[in-house]
Amino acid sequence: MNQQTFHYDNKLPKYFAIACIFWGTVGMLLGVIAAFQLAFPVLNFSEFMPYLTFGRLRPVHTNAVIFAFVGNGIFTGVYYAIPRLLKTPMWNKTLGNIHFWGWQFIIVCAAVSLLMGFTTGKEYAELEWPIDILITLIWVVFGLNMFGTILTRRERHLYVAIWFFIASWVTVAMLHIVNSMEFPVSFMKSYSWYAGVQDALVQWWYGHNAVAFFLTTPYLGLMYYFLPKAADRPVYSYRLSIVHFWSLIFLYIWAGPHHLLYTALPDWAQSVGTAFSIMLILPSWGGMLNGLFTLRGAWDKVREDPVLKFFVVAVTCYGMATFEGPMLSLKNVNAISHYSDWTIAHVHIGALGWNGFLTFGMMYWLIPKLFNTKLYSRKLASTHFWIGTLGILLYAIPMYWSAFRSYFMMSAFTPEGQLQYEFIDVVQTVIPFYIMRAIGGTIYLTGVLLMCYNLIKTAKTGEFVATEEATAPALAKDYKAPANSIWHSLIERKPIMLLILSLVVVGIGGLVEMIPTFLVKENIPSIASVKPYTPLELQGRDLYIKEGCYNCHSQMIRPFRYEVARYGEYSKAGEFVYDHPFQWGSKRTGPDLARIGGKYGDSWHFNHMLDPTSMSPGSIMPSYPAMYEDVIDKASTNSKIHAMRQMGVPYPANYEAIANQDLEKQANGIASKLLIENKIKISSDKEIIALIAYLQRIGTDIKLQPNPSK
Amino acid sequence: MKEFRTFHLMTTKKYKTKMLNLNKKTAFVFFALLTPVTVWAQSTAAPAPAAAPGLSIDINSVLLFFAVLMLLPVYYTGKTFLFSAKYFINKKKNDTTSNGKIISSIVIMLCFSQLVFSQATITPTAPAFVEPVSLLKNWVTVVLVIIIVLEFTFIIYFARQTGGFLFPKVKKVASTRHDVETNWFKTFWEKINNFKPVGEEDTLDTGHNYDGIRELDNITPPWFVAGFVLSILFAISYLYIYHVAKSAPLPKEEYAIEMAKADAEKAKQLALQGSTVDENTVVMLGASDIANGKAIFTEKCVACHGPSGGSMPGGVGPNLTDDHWIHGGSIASIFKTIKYGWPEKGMISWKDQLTPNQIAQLSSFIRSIAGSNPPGAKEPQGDIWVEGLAPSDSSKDSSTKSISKDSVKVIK
Repeated sequence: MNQQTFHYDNKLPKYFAIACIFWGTVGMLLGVIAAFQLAFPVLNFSEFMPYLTFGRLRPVHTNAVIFAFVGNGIFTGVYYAIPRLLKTPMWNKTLGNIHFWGWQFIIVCAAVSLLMGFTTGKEYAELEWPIDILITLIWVVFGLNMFGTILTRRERHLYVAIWFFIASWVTVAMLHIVNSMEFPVSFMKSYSWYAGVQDALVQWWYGHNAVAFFLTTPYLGLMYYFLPKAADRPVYSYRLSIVHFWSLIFLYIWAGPHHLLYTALPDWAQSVGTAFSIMLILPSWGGMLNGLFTLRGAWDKVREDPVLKFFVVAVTCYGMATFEGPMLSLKNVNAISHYSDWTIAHVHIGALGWNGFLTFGMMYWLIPKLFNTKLYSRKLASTHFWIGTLGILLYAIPMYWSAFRSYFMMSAFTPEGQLQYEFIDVVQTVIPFYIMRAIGGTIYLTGVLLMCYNLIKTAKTGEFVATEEATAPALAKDYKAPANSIWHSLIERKPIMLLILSLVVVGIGGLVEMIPTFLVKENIPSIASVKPYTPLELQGRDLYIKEGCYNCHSQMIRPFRYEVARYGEYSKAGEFVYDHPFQWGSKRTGPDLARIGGKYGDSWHFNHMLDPTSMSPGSIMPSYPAMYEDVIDKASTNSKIHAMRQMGVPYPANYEAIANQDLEKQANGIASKLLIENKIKISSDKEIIALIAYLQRIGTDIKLQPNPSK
Repeated sequence: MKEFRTFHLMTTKKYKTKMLNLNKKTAFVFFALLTPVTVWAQSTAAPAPAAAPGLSIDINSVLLFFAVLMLLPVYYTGKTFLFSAKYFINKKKNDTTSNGKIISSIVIMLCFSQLVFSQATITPTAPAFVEPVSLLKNWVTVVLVIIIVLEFTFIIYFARQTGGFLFPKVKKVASTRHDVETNWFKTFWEKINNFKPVGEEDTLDTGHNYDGIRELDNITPPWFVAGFVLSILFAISYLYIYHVAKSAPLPKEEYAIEMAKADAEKAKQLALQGSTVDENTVVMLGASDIANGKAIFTEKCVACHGPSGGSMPGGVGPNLTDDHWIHGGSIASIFKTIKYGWPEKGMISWKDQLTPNQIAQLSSFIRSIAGSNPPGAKEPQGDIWVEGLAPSDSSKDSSTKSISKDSVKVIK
């Protein structure tokens, strides 16, 4: 055997680690600000500028934490672990550098564009089309570099961590490309290719599996490397790895529709979502068990080593979140949890506990290694551990409590059959919980700052090891598997086969759910009275999307007595056929708006958007004064109408030419009505006019008129 | 050495079986005690709607029952614990090798258990405040749950300690650093996961070595496999029940059932209260009702109609204090406007938020402020409406007209 000598590069893992911690701190800080905004609306600073309202800030928070913090965390681990697991340096340094700088550039573009109001309006996929393309390119660069490394390896079989990296890479590519299919209207503005129910299905197929294949499977890969390394224990069960890897990636992809229970999504798709979510419990737990059981015989170490402490809580939180998730997908539980703070609590158990703590554990282990030294202070790391745990508890408990309180209040009827509470009563009740939650988040962030200090000090005491030398023989060409090797070892030495098999396995679920929803007409019964939006309403709708109203308002009334009594007739699938993108939302911090059209007068909306508390005392909604000064972008009407028609919205032929005339006519109507009836002077070209037009349109196509005298 | 090992095995085995028996007994007694409760709870839960008024079973009474019932096992396990502890101390006193630490810790535990008993006797007084109010808002529920959890903890604690005193652990020769103490949970845990002893893991090594990470070939835990199979069965039956057998209601069917039930209850309640006033039967009410109406107005209406009812120049809603009315100023017209709303003009329907009686009170209040003309009110809208003079409604609505005529008669 001729030994070959090569060098592992530590520079990129270090860069990614710094980026991970930096963006993590920023992302969490934004989360804390957003949390305080809900309790103290003045923090939206909307009187001074439109950039920091909750509707714009929250997407920056979610995107930063998912793609910047966890994303860079994944790359840190991948760039450190893959070369060592395969006994070869990363394939191409240039690709690695492009990957690193490209990804950071995307993050900056994302933050700036989201705060400026460029958004597609689809959760966790808010970035506009040029950035989407950039993400695709950088993702391909990452994939090339990873597969180049795998194909030039000196280790014949792929370790379980790498199976997870491969499956994650191919699935995220698939999800991103399918969900980001959009029709560009202009630079930084596009419409989702899908509409209404179909858009919702694709979006939550994406949304759910972004959690699965960005926040879960790559992190399982990290766990499979760093946990046995830190504990110095063998992985508990190779068999369990095989079983839970394949079952997890196959079953996960089906579960998306559980985000749409009781909505206008066809019943069969909802039931499939529930059924597959329940089957997911044990495959998910496979990862937790393999992690915890690997620590058998090392629990005495866990008591002392902060790294292992973080890992234990991370894996436990993973287990809790993946048990809670399937429970939330049961219809009767989902009826309570959906649109409520329960969902927020659930995702933060996952994000703060699983992703956060695993990242922290990894950093406390990795940074001393990279700088060839010991951790500056184990005591400080332990303090971070306890502060972080306390932060998670203080975050989650108020949210669970608030969810139940709101549910009981929302669904309460007087014996005479009247709703007992108004929406604003519920808002007022949960504000103290929002404050507690924000404090919990602040405590968690404090822990992160301690970590930053500790790691910087660590780096300073040591000296950076830029490369590490290693030796291994090259792979023999004429390999014959031993007769007693198990079937799976074949897949482990054929990475392309593993890639293709993963793609097939994750592809099935999506295809089975999407094809019938797109092709079978009965799934979305059409309603004759549903008409395309007028040009003014379309402009208004784009403002609604721009301001991120969907972050707090749903447009989907579920068939429950208390929702129908509060918001109006429950939503039908056929009502959304021209909604590119859909705006059903996922959280009701404010009331549902699916039937807001015609509920109040134009002047109510006019006053409300300028100062929400004037019309709705106690409201925590930010004000939108900029809309009273900015003018409607009429130049875009033409291309917007054109894009919509290209996607099948039946505007008359050549309507683009006269669309702006219709727009002005409708706008003048609204402005003059405001003037005559309410003595409100507003120029008809202001954005607020378009927004009022849109709000007054929502849900009116089939609105049942309650007045019997009609 | 060999003899010692066999002896050790024997004693641990004996100990295990004994412990198991003890646990079985405690568990049996405990569940035997609980059975009547569960049966009772189930039997009361089923016919709850039909139960006679006055006997309402709420969550707190069930919890209280549990809390009281569990005092019994707490008492007995506690007694056994005290007894065994004394026995242990006496034995240790005679034992020359004993050290002071153990005894002092036991004394502390004894004091602690006494404290528990004194607390336990207080518990039954707390539930005196039980009221049938909704879950979670009720601190009594929370307190009761905490008490039950505490009781559980004590039972487990006492049982474990007793076991420890009666069958003290034989000190093992330190074999490995993974020397773990045995208790019933560990035994159960080892069994359910089908663990192999850590010392034997070399036999399970797959021979894999990835950057120093070895992999064992432990079997997947039996409960994992069983659970996975069960969840698959659940999924299949879920789809079967809803989409093949169609024996359980899908969302929209659930809604129909819920609404039918709600309508029936609503009708019953309204009949019971005689609250069936509508736009045809409403009359001007007296001062106390007008005061109630004012309270409702302050809560729900001021945003659009202003605190005085006069709205304001540029206000959303019309002035309610002048003689001009868009949809009629009679008590019946006002009632109707509130009940059904005029959505195209921005007046929402309140029939799902206010009871007919409340609407009548509110209408009476609004009628009572007509003509008060407060300063800073909005300019008049609609036609002048004079009591007793038809036509009243400027909204060209025939049915409203006829009703306001009727109502005029009623007022007179």
